[in-house]
Amino acid sequence: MFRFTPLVRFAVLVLGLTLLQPSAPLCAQGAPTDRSEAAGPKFKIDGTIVSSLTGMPLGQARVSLIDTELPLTHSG
Amino acid sequence: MITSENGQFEFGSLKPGKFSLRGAKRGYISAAYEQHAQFSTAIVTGAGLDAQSLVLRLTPLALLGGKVIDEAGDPVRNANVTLYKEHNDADMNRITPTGNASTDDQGTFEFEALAPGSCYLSVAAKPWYAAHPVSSPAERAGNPAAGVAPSLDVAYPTTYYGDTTDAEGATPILIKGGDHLQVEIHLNPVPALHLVFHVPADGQQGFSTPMLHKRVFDAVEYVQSEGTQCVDSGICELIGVPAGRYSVQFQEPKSGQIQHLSEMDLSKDGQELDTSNAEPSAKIKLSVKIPRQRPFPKQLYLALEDSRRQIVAYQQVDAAGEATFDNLFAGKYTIHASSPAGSYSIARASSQGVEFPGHDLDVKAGASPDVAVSLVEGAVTVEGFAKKGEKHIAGVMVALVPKDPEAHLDMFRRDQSDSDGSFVLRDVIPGSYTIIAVEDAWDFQWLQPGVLKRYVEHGQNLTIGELMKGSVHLPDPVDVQPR
Repeated sequence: MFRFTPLVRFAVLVLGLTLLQPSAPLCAQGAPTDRSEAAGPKFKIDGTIVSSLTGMPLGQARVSLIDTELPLTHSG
Repeated sequence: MITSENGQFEFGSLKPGKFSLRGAKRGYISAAYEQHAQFSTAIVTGAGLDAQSLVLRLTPLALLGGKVIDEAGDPVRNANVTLYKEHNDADMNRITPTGNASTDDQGTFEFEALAPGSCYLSVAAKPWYAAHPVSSPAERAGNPAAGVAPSLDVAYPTTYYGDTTDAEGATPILIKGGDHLQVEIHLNPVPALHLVFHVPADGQQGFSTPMLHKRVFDAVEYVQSEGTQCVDSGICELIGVPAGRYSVQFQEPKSGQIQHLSEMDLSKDGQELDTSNAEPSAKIKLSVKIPRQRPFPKQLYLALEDSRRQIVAYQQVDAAGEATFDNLFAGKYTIHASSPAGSYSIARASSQGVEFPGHDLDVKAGASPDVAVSLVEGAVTVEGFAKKGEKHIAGVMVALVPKDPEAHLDMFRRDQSDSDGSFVLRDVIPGSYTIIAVEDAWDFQWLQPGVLKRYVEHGQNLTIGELMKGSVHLPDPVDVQPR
């Protein structure tokens, strides 16, 4: 999964400049997304967070799950 | 959610889909599942897909501290310590500055919350007792100065960990997750140079002080002198400069144009900065052309990258489709285009009626060419699966390699396959490609010539036409090749 375009750091700068433009629409409101859960089979994701150094489990760590098609739908 | 004491987490009642899993904890580097640089493996849920008993690894942050000590063994306060990190930027190893710290009155400094990797340290400082007397005409004639002992007219050259004054000889510091390292750097004074330069004698036009630059790892850094003092009519000098190899920039008094002297050894006290060989800067006007079928992007930026792959200038294209770059030094530049509205590449450029492919410009000193650049938009997404035998493979590097890769670095696209072996390559520029999938390839210097050659020979060919848009679904999976 691609998380952040690396190819030209310049592109990031451009995006930053764009966001700073006073005329740029901030948080434009689109039509509300239909977030109702469709009926059908449900699945689960589970696991353990560990230290890469010791392999020991890490309690009190924050885990977030983000639907890559619907941003920020399921974060903890 | 927050993990239980045994580090476990569970997300239930999920619909079939693709999810990014991330973890964070104080004292650790936040990371996504199986993250490599900006890529990670997304977890895919659905019938027959296993998304359980995952192990998400977080790396503890490290700390690097130390002490700066002078020639008498005493701590040096207010020294400027720079941390350089070796990193893989656009998949080329580079060493660039990533942090600064000042030493306290015990000469100590600290960089905290560091990620693992290789790094370097440099120290710039001034001896507390240094004095730089104004040169007299007698001194410039070779007679000793009166009043200030030569042992006081000294400077500390920039010194790297390993106690060397040459960046190339600096000792790397390998930082592992959770390390708490302490180092010492020792400074030794050297005679300070007085570098002479000429200014307009009438004083009517004012003058600008020459600026010294030094090559440090993969960057060129400004070197601060201890000041400028005018010693005679039309003669000034830079003081407190340690001997070394420098490039020099200055402003031509009449035209205001920036001039450039290439790297030279400055080693003699009283040495004159001979500006007679200075190269004038260049100016380039770029005019953008977009294919007729495509709209002109609302905001478009052009940037110039030098031969060391540093962006040296950028401009927003104006309403007339033009951008002008002033004060450029002679050399080879690569033009990049970028817009929030999409991904663009330079298809070809022309100057004075002569067309040349690609986006590389050879700029001569003092030149002011007008260059027309034709852009092509990346409007295609390529989707597919990575497979080894009958099995979809997660976590492999998938790369879209353009034909003649060294000349089209901006056309490369990469992704990491997700838990079901799927991948998505976005903003693909029209052109001919080979798509490859390689196991355990995340530390490849994949932009270096020849590195991908043997994988490309067994890849899948793909052509994206100039008018294509939307998604291309590869009918056949891409075979995963062993490293």
